[in-house]
Amino acid sequence: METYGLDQALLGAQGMGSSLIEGFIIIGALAFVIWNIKLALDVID
Amino acid sequence: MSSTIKETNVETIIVDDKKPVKQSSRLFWLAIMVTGIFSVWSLINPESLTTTLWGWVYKFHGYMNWFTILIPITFFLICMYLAFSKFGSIKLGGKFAKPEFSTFSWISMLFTAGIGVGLVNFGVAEPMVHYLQSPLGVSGGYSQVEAAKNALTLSLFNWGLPAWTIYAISGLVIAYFTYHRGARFLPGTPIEEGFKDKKWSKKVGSITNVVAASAAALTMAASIGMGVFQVKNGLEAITGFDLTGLTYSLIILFVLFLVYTLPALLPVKKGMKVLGDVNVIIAISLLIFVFCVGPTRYFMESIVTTLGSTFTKLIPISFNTYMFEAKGWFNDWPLTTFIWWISWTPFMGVFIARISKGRSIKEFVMASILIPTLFLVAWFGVFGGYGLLDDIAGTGEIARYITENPNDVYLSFIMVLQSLPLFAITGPVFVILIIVFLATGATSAAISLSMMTSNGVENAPVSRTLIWSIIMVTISFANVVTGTLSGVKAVAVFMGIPYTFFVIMQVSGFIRQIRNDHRKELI
Repeated sequence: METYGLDQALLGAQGMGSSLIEGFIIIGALAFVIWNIKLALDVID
Repeated sequence: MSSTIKETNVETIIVDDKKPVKQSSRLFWLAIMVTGIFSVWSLINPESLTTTLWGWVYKFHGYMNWFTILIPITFFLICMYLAFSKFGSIKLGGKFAKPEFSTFSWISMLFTAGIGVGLVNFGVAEPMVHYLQSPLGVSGGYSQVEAAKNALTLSLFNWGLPAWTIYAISGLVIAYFTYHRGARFLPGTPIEEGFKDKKWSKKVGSITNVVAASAAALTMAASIGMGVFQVKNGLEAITGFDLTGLTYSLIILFVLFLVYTLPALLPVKKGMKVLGDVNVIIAISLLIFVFCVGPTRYFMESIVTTLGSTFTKLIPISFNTYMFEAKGWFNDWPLTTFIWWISWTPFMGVFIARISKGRSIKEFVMASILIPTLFLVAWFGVFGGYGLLDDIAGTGEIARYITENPNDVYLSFIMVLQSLPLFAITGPVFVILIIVFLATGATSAAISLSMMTSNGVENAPVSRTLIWSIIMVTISFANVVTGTLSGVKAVAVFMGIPYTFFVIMQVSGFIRQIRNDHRKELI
């Protein structure tokens, strides 16, 4: 499958730092998963 | 306001008759609008669409590979818990519900709608690509023998338990709400009903339905479009004629349209069931033939080895993010494959739910995950095993072809048939298999789309099924004519990304509901 000229750096090793947006995206995803676990375990009256 | 009362085994639910019609039309038009926007974009500027969407897909892989890789194993563990816990004995549709289809037909429909033509396209190519390109293959420094074993394990990881777990859970969540809560066959139902007490549930449920219907139409249109080229390649290999030119493509597309639309217009029991049965019988016959005329003893060794590694290596591979390796293969194969399976779940979920009444959760989970996986062990063990043996002890032609044609690996399957006796018979069978596989997938998509956009009724109007059949073939037609298939293919994968989050919410809503129903002794 082609990668359509995408920045190879993104696909390979990311080096020693990361952008702020990457941090937000990853924390957002983790928060989403935790929120869904909490919802799944809720007790409905 | 007119209303009907629907009896379920749980409680009596009042179903408003007027509101659903309005919602149904709105969903229908919104889905057509979203599908239309992407289709027009893919025709006007395919380059921009392809680059933009693949760019987003690879960005997602870049940031979220750890997330995607964990989804199948998480769903697998949830499914196992459901099957072997107090919930396993719950029968979909109530204690006295009887299955609508025989177990063979049920599994055949599940299997052929879910895997589709990919089984033929990738039966040889998938293990060969992992053998050649993966970090656990020859390019990763492994010996040919070790790389071959790893290749079969990785193929089953991409196609086996993880893929079927995703399908099983997406069907189960809809089936539970439909058969136990009197809800409709809609992908948004588990969110809308599971989080009924939340203000946002209806809106999120509606968005899920629109994304699901658009994803289903575009994914299937991409599959039909790709199928045209695969049938053409197959026919060229069999007949030796040059079938280059638009006319041949359009004739094939028209034949495909007829083969998948006619069964879609018949009741599921007559149309889709027969197609699924025929499909599985042809696939099994081809498998048995190659098993007998090829190196049978080696095939058995290959099947047994693959069977063992499918289960024993599931956990280590599910947690391998190849953290110190280049991510090219990881993005292109396992991650893109998982997102691709998720982009199929909108119609697979609705379709699986539709055909699974009367099955217990344990039976549903075990059969829908294990039986297709076991079939795939045999399929990859034989066809993939043959390709691998050809490189280790044979001519090496298949591996050479795949190395030289990385974007057109599909013909490797026909190369295997060509190297075995009776190609005059197996060649046409191969083409028929592709057509029937494509038709089965497209038929189930047309039925599911029709159900989704008719507010999730069990037997959707035939006119709406026909409209979706025509929409899918029109998108394929436009893309085949303009040669812009990569655009619509990119859309199909891209739609899987947002849908991943909706699937997580569906599962969360389902667990929430089933736990509370059990606590209140409603099930």
